Amino acid sequence: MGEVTMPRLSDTMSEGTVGRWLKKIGDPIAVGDIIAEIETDKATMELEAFEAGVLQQILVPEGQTVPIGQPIAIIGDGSAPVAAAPAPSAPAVAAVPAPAAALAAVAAPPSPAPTVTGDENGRIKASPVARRLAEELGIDLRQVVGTGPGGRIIKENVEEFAARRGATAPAPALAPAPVVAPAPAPAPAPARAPAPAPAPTLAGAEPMSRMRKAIARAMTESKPGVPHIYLTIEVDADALMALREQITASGTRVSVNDLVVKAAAKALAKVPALNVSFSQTADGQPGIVRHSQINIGVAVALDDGLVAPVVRDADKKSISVISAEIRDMALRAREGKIKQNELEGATFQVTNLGMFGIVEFGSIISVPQAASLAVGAVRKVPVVRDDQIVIGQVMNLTLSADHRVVDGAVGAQYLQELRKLLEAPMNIIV
Amino acid sequence: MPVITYRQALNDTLGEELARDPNVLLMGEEIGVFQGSYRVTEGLLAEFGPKRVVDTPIAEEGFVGVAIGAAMLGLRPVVEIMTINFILVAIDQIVNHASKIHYMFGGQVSVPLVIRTPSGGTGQLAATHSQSFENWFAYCPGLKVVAPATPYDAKGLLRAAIRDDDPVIFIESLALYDTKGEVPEDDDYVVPIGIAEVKRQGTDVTVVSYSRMTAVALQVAQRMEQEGISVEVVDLRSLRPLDRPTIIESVKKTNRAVVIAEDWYSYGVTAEIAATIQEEAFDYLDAPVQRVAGLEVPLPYAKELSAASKPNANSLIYAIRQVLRGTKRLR
Repeated sequence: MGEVTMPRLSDTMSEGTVGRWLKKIGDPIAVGDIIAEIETDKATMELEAFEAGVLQQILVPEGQTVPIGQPIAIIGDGSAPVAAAPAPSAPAVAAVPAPAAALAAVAAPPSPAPTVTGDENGRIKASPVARRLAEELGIDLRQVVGTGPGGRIIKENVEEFAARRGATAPAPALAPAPVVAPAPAPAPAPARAPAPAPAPTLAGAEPMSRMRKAIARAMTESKPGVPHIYLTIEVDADALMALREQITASGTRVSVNDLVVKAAAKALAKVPALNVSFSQTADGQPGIVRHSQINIGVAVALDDGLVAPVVRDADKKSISVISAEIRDMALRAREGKIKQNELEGATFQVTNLGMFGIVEFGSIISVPQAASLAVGAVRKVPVVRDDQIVIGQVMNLTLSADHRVVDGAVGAQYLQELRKLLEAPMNIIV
Repeated sequence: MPVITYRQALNDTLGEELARDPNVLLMGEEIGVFQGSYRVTEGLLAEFGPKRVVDTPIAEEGFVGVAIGAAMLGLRPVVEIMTINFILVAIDQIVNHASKIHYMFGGQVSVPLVIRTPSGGTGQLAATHSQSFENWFAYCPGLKVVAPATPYDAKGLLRAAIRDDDPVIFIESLALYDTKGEVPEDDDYVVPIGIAEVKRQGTDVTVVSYSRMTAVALQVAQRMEQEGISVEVVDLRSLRPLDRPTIIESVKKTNRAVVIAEDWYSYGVTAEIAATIQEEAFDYLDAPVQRVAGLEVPLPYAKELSAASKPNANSLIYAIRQVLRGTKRLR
């Protein structure tokens, strides 16, 4: 006989809700049978049985939330009469729903704040939009004071709470723990508050959410100009280098940077939230433009500066086309023959200082782009494989992102996608 | 752009459509020799003659039935029902015949019929002459129901209704006939049926309205702006088909909604809109949707009681304050 416990289904999961029981008490269970649906902070997932037997007891009714590790059902060998009272060793929770308050007490983590909003049953009175916003911002509504009718928490109470908290905390639903921008400096004297970075007015700018505006404002106060955040990820470059060797051996010239440009574009297609620009709406309010094209500016060093010719629709072009375009434009840039329109329209930038042996660096975003990728050198390092120290190749990538429009979690998601592509680089090509 | 009355916009459009299409004809009580109880058809008998502008007996069921038959045979009758209160004797023709013929005869015939009629109460016309029944028709699949609030929309929607191949109930308002607005000349524009319009942009609360209540909502929005409250006004213009996306988009922006209509509260237009909002924008609501509608009484004749029974600017302002309770605007 075994207990079925609330499983950990994601890195960020601390509790789960039994969405639906798919087996009834008394049903025979085979290993691998789906016995329930579990709702996590992210999704509804199926719960498989790890042992065979008969579903003897359901300890947590549908709709109930419990911490991970807590028993939710018991699978027996079928000898115990299924209608019998719970075995003495089993938790004293019957299959019928317990009063909400009692179970909520099990599930609810201790309230971290002195201010508690809620009625005698522990239900928090909050408007739907306030609930949604709090969930998005990872705010515990019990800490928020409601000013609506009867103490209902309304949207602006959550917004004010978020603003006081610094408005930098990411949504908890994203893995891994995102890198957060530096906390804003102690509030500057209002008189000395820096002027917000001027935003260009681009066609098609859509209004920002109030939260987005608050973040934009907070970030600008924290770092005048475009408030950058930097995220670095290490990529195992063995497969990438092997692929490049293969291509080179076949007589085609392709650089690591060409492969990174294409991978960067493909990753952008997967995370379009990064392919945006901070702008103004027609009425002068802060806004976001979402670009439909993926145009990658590739920084090219010149004797007395640098330019970034643009590979348009880079996600749709083949490696050889990208490689040829970059080579051609870089050559003409160095000869001073590049055309202005070839330097315009980038939605994202790739900068590579790997050839100088730079391990990693943070690049400055070219407005109105929202992000820039800085590529470090591919270098040999000792790595542990199968308990042996061997020589491996790694490459560090640093993403700079405009925190007014992009949060750390989105940047992290992008870098994950990019690493996936670079570590299985056939996917860059196909 | 010329500024004309709502009545003039309707009169011009009827004349233009009679001239444009020989199949268009007008029918109704007192629309010809008397030139219309509310003078909407003024001058049209003289211009187009008695075959195109037909005075009917006081027999709504009969002449609506005649109009349906004429429409089935290819004419495009525009019927005037003196007020919506009198449409009830013709409701069998409209609901059981006009709305269903196209469906029940396998699409072989259409009923390109327009029924124009003023709805709602104004003055002391008392219980049987002050009702709003547009929701009865908006309830019925197979009909289209439009209710313009401005001279511009009145013209554009009347054109659209006359040119539409389905039966359209065209709701007017006695209180709107003398209101004025800009209407372009020599511009054959059409206001599409089934498309609402944001008549005024705002950020704090969405007011959903149509016909005369849109005029009230726009006045209220202007007044509340002086208090720092920004009201967005969504004018439905069509009740069926209902432009749900425009309502939802606005409520998602403002997080608050007040719905106002002149009909009675229970089972009225406001109930349909409020239900739509909670279905499609639940997670965007910051307060329960408020409804402003008529009191559930046969309208009293006494002036003060009559006024107190109908929704007005004050009841709308009260409802807006209700949905804004607890916000900084009102704290």
